[in-house]
Amino acid sequence: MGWSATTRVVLGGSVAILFGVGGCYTGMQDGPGNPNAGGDDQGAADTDDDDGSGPGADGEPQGQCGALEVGLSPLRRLTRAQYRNAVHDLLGIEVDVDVLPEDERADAVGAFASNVLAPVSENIVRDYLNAAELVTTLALEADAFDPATGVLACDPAIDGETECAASFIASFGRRAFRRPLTGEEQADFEALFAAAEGTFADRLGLVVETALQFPDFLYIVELGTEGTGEIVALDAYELATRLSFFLWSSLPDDALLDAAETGDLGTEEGLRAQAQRLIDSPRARDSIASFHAQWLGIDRLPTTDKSAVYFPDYDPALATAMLRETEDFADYVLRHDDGRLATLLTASYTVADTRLLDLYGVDPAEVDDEGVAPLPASERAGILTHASVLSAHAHADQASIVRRGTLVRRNFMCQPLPPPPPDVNIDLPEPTPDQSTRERFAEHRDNPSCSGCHELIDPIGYGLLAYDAIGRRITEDGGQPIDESGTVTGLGGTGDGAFVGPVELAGLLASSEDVRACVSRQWTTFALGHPLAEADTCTADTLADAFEESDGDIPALLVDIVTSDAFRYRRITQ
Amino acid sequence: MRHAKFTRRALLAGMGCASLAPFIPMLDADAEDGGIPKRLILFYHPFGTFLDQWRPTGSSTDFTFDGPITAPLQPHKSDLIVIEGLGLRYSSTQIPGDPHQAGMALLWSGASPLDCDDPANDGTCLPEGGQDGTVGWGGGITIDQRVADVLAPPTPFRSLELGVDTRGDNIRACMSYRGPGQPNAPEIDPLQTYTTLFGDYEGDDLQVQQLMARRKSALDLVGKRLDRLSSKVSMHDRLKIEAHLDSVSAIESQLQGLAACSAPVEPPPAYSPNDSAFLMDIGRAQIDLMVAALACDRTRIASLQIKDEDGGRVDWLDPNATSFHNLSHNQGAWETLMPAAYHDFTVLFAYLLDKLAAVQMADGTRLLDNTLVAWGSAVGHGNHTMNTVPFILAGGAQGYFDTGRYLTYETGTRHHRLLVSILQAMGVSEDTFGGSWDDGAGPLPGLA
Repeated sequence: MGWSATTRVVLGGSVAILFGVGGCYTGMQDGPGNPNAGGDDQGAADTDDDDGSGPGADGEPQGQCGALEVGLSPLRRLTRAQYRNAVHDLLGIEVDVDVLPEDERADAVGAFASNVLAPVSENIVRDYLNAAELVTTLALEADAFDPATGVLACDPAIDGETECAASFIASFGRRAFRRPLTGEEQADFEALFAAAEGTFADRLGLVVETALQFPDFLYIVELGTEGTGEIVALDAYELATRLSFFLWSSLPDDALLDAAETGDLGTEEGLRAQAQRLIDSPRARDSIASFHAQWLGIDRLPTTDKSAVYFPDYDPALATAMLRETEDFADYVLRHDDGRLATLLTASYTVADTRLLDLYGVDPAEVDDEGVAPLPASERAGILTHASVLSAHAHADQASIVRRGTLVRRNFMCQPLPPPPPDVNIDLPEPTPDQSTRERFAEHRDNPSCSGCHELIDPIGYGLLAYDAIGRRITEDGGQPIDESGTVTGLGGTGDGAFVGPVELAGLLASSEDVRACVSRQWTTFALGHPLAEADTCTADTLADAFEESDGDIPALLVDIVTSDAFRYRRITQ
Repeated sequence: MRHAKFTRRALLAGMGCASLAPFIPMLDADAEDGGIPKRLILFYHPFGTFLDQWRPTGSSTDFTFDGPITAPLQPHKSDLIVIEGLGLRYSSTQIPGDPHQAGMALLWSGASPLDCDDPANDGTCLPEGGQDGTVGWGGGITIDQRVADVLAPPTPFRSLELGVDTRGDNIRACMSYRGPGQPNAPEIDPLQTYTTLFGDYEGDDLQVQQLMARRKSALDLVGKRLDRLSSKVSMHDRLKIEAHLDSVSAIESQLQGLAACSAPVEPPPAYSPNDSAFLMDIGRAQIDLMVAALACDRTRIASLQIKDEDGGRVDWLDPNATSFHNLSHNQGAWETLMPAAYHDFTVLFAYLLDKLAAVQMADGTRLLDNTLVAWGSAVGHGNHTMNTVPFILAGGAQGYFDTGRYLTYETGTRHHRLLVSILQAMGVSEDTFGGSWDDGAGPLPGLA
């Protein structure tokens, strides 16, 4: 099962960050906590192919960078969305995620929800008990255990209740736990069924509600292969599980479990083939949507209020349509268009419903058969000009150059920003009819304790000045014509420069190696579900380099992530 | 498609149960992590006692209830602390109210009653008995209500005030106060008590027991798997698996405790609440409901007031006897009927202890072990002495007090100290209680 040697690119002088004495940037350097890897500003990448393929002579696993190095991969509990999707796949039941424990705050794993940090509390376990009972109740209401309508592959009236239950337990258990049940587990669940009270369906319900409280369902349990030290290779079923939760935000299907069972996932070709199959499936939409909603910070938009005085047209339905536009667009770019980051950033089309097209000033008659609509050429291009992004990164009553600029700096360039110094007044200046935004925020430039950071933030935000707090194009700012000129600074290599308006801004970002490296880094974090550690640097850099080589081909990146060391191995102790 | 947040109602409906059991012990976020919450019960009867027939004989740790009044307590000896010598601080000249009025107000509040024109008083004004003067309501919060304020238990009922043959809203007939001039009148009709606590219950315990059994069988398997898994995962992950296992175990043991919660299936018989011929039946019915409410965590703070400082009649002993109050003042057949009445109050107290002891909690302890029962009276004797009021504690509040003791204090030791001890036992940090009428500080020495 040979793994091809991957050329390691050692990066010289990577771009990163240094917080200066003034509390913001004075320059840039590497740092282990910095998600911005890659982006070689010297153009002096020297190659180092010290890595032979496969295990070394001593039998220790060899990685893509010589000695295998991956960061700590803590036990993960399913997120709300993963639980919901898993239950849907298992039983065809929709569960309201509000009944589930809240996900841990995302900060620890970049922008992404992942329950890797804290052990569960009693309340969380109680929530899971109640949720499991709810799922059973809903399944019974939906006749999910009726042989005519439900998930059973047998009929208790024909095959016998005991036999039919045993076969359900085996197949349900394999899906729910993402591995075959052990003989003891199979026997335990059969005994549970046999001892339960009620109808056949009631008793299967108890099996389901018990299985849904098992750690093997609630956690992504990774014991790895036997006989290894601090770093262990995942077994085939564990790999299948990582694969499906990454690319589908849900359980593996039977085909993927079969590939684990037959050993297909043990070869790079087999693994790539399954990854490609998952990406090509419509079910990849959930993960693509989830990544983009979190990366762009728009996932909470449907519950974000706007001022009813200024924006009477804004309501939850419109906000939901905005979120959906971005999700549909990303899905379209990745699975139907060329899948390139540049397309995501600069496409002159979108996939939106009529209410949003109206907001964009697009004639619904221009929408084609696939639901694709052209955007006004000089006004909008790609995700940065989506109403979702512009609305989520604005205040309730006014737009925000700071929030929009910060989004770009943090999430597109992977350059974290410190919060404002503690002693400054950060109350928003009131909108005034005769002052432009630039004038209102003059202190950001004039006060040295502000300007260090805001020089990096505001000039990007200026490019989005022509959009109000719900992403509508406007023509005046404080009674003056809008000045959409700004500058991008701090990117190594390409990407820095002056621009006018969002289309040129998007073009600069799309040209940047650092932005590509950052997006690669974001996808890698999303895929692993844990914060990237120093030990993951090699994997992350290797992936970023391959992404650069591919000219920002995102589907190819996803396949590369799946075959990377960090994805196939796990470090079990610090 | 969206579904309403899960309710047990939905679960039961889904299980095909026609009737609902809305008080099925909740498995929700209000339940407490770690530990069974303590319960408090205040118990009262009027007119003190005959000390010579009340006090046990023997030493402080080895004693016998051989007096006729307390003989029913003999089986409960190891759960009790008998306290002799405490007095209610009373002065007919310094505070409003006659001994019955002031005693009732002082008993659990330690506070002087209100003057009629006190701003906190609602205008209710009664003449003092046998003295010139008037009195308003009690003048302070009582310990049960202070505990409820501070602990704020997440139960459906903040506290439960039950009575047996009490009459009217007046200072002699109310012993629980939310604050100065804010009495909690007791509910004296068992049928009404039932309706309030369990009236929406239409099913039977079988459904609850089935649900508990179902949960237990699920959690048993989950626990088994977690236990197995904890030895297989890495050290780093073991903490998480063990935390999960701990929580599953805690929830499972709570289920066992909750399974002991057995709500009354049938409402009690309809009594005329002030027909004293049925005093003992009504008393037992109220106690049954109170213990069920505590076991099912409908409330954690309760009081039972047997009669009041007017006294009513003693028809259950002798329908032809003079009034209880007259008896207490040595009229009629007082020599036999007063001890007989005191004895029967003890019988009800022992019945309460039996019921509390019969409820098994999650950790194998009895509900009684997790409860502090405080029994007192508003005067020491029918002759109005206030210096030797009989007090008995039971249960020990999860070991806060060592039980099985008989403590004697210098006659007239302020009972404020006992109130402070009870508050501290319940987790309320108070050093004095009763406002300016408490002239000391700290708990009762030698008790905790």
